[in-house]
Amino acid sequence: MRARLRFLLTLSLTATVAWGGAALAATPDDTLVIGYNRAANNLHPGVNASLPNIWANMLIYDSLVIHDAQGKAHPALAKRWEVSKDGLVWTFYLRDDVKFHSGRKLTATDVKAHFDLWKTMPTATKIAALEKTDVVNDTTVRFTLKNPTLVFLSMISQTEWSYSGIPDSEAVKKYGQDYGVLPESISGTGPFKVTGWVRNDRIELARNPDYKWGPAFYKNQGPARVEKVMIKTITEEAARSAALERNEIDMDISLSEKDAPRLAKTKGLRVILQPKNTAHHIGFNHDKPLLKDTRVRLALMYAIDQKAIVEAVYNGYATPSVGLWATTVEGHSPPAEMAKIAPSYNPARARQLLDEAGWKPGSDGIRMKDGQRLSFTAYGYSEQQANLLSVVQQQWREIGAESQLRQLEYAAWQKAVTAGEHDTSYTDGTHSTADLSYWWVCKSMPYPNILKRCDEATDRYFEITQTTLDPKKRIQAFQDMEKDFMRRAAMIPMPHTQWVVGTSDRVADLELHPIHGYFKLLDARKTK
Amino acid sequence: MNSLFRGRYLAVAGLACLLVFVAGVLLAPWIAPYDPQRQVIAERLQGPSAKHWLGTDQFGRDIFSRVLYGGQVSLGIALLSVLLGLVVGGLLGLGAGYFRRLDGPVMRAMDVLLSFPAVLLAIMVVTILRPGILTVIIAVGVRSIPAFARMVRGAVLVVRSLPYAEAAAAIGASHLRTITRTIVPNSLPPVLVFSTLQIANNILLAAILSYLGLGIQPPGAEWGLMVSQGRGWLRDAPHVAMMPGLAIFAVVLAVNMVGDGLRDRLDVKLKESA
Amino acid sequence: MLGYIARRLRATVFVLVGVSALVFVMVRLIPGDPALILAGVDASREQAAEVRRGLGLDQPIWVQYARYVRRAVEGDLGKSIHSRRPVWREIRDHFPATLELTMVSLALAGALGIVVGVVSAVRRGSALDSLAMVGSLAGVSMPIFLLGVLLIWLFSLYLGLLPTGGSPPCLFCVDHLRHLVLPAITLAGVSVGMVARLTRSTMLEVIHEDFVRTARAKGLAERLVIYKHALRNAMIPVVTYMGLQFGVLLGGAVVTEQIFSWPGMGRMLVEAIESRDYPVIQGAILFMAAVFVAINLLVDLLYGWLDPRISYE
Repeated sequence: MRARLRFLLTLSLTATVAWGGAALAATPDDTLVIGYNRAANNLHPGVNASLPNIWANMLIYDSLVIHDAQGKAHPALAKRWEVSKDGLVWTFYLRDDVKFHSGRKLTATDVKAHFDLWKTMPTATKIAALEKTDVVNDTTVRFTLKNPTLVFLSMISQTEWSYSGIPDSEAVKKYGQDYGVLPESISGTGPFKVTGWVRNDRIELARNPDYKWGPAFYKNQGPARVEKVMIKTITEEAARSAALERNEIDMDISLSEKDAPRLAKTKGLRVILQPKNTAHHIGFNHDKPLLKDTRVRLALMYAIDQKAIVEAVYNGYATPSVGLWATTVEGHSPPAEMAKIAPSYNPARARQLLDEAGWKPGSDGIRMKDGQRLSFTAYGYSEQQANLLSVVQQQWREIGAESQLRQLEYAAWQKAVTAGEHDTSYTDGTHSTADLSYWWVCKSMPYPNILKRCDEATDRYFEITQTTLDPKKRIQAFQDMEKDFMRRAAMIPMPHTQWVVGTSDRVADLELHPIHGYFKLLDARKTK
Repeated sequence: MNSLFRGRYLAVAGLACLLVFVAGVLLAPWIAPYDPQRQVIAERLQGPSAKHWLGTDQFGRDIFSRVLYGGQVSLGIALLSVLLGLVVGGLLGLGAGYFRRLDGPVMRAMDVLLSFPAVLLAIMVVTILRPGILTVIIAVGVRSIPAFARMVRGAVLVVRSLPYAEAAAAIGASHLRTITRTIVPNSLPPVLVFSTLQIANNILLAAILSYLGLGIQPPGAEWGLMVSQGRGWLRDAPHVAMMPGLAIFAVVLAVNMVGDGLRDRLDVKLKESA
Repeated sequence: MLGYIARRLRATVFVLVGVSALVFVMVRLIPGDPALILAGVDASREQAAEVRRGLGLDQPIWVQYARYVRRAVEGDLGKSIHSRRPVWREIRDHFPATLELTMVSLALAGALGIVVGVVSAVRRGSALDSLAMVGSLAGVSMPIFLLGVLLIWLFSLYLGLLPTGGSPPCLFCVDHLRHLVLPAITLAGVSVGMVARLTRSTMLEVIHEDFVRTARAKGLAERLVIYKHALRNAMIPVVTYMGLQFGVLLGGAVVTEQIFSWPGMGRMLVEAIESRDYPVIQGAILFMAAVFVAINLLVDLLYGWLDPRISYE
């Protein structure tokens, strides 16, 4: 009995070790395996705003135009375009050598079909200015706008969340609501086509061998250099880091900042940092009597030590902000000018402002005025935001302000802030241009204008940015708006985050985009 | 006490361990070396040392202090949720067992609750109500209702069929008297044992909710939340998640040991799955 | 017997109707609007209202429920709001992974638990017995996420033996098993302890029963007594317990699937709750409840078949 047991034990141990040996096999040479924390659910461009969908769509589809990492527009499916004098009619001339994955040729009809369908979709706010789309001939399409706007080109660029990616109109017609859901329905013109899709788990893509219409800012305009791409969903960040370390994936697009320092030192791995176009902030609810006093809001801004936040929340992988917009965002103010205006960490000044406003420290250190405590809520919708708010909470506590944290799920958060039950709320903002300011105009109340601040000056600045045909005026208006936000304490800017991407050394020529991470993967390749 | 646990070393060890924890948790304001919320960014992610017995977390907070204060929340939730299940479930079970007309509807409703997977039921309740301590108590407590109801109903049925209960009814004792004098004392031992085991279960379920980000709100200290927040640092600072994780494990183990001892002592038979 | 089955089936239908109604109401009590999520951050209120109409969410709740039940009876659980696929297809895609995980965990728990339980019972009072029982108790007391995290730590990170998670790349390959090991052990963790404890206690009971004593008195070899007579009878409650545990594990897989990125029903449901995908939440919970109830029914019948002393009248 005992001998037999010992034999079994030995056998199983040997098997385990043999197994372990096999485990060291890396990802296949021809496949780039990308890890991400969430899964895509619908790959019809325009249907849904979730990041995993958008990223996959970047690879599967092309749009008429596309912006590069510096924010410059480039021809894509359109060779060139013209705008009428009054800015109302936009004519796009298409390439006539483009084929869908299905083998069909792309014509102006496909473009019109997509824009007509997009107009009926929830994401159509992007093209609110679009009146109608006409097919002039097979390779010419004409858009007529309701009002002139410079923003139109950005809005129909693929960079704008890929909504404008053109799907095969025949396939869309054939599959109806199932388009973008069944893997076999999906047909775009992009450098990769869908070959397999296991929900909540992975998307398998193979390169499009006929591709030769890549945008000019890539070195390679032809077929992608990697044969296959697999996007794998791994929800736990520690598990993703481990998968990268164990070569189960080649690239972790949302690498945990906690593991980044170690992985950067790990042999065979690299950590790539890429600034993001962010405007993260803590917004005040200007409807709340407590926060109506500009001195109180300014004091809360002066209390923030962004360096501590960068350290404790992002493990060093973020940069303190000066003003609202990252310096890569079109419309940001020059940092030197901003530094003079935007309040920076100065607790003494914060205390002085609160004293002036009549808030005097109570027995437990929290300030009081007319029997009311300086106490308010701070909302957020993710674990990281809660982490950030708990550091901020501590810093506010230092100047005698008390805050209660409310971490909600996204949907519940959205409902709460729309109803205006928050006093302050953290909000993530990522956008290529300062056009994101439409969040804060009067007509965006109650959502997304969760500042609950209808301000005549803000609306005026925004109006200029949207209607002027002079790019200089547009930038000036954005800068004026940002300075006004800081002077009058509309919101508290938070550190700018960055892409923290972990890759194996086998990944070469990887190009990253400040908003869209790996973007179209035309140059990237995998070495042996 | 001594006679209750005589010869049952595991139960005694469990009880001792539990007492240490409860004392530590209750005396937290006097024992804890630091304010559990106090952040010292310069001292973040330090391992255990003389200054910080269990080390510090990502914000430079003292983990020992947080484990002590966190225990108040974790143990409080477990106790109150069992109490909730006991009171609601007990009343329903009493009603169902005592008044025949209520029996069918109440027990069918309990069947419905029981056929909901426990974790999912809790998740649904938390999502409907706002996250927070009270919500977690309700979400975790709801799960124990059907089990308590079944148990109390069973006890009532047994007691009702006993000769003296029938006799009491025959001489015209009031419902209330029958219930308080005969039924409650008789169903007490199994309920007591079951409650103990349920406390262990509820600590775990509450921790699961916090772990999934649906429980206690940060920056509050709660053991499940602490594990959840520390799990990203597992490689470089494993103590952040392990210390509160071990606290959960130790307390649940201790409660289970005590529960086992009680069961043997009171000679109660329970279906393990209940 | 037939009458009993009929009664049980009636009760089952009642439970399912109850569950469906409860889920239906609960889902609609969750704050947050699926239309708003679907419409995206940029959508205007008019657009959101339009989406809501399209989903039928503007109707009174009983109208929605009546419509839902009518369709559910015909086997139509509706379509996912997000993926736009029929809910039954989502279930079909995700359930096998959960089923596999659950069955393997249960087999693991059964095999290990019964062996440990029997050995403990036979060597009652020995050091081995104490060790096994303390170990079982520890297993029962282990928070499932802590176990999962510890296993990843040990086997994936330090030893580098097993993958950290994710679904198997192929159906019949060694890699499949390797992906399965850690989640299955994690999910089995609690059950092993339970099964071991239950096996031990029923074994101890049975050993003292008349027929075992008779067998022993007749001079049968001790081993034969234990394995042929005692074990077979002791297995009845254990098998019953495991049957019930099967349903519990199906639901309990939520956490395990989350930790190991296992693409099963649990993760599908958590995602669905987050994105307020009403039809998926309803359909999936109803399905899980149906499986749970069906298993309970089966276990009850099996119990009677195993133990002829039980009668159903």
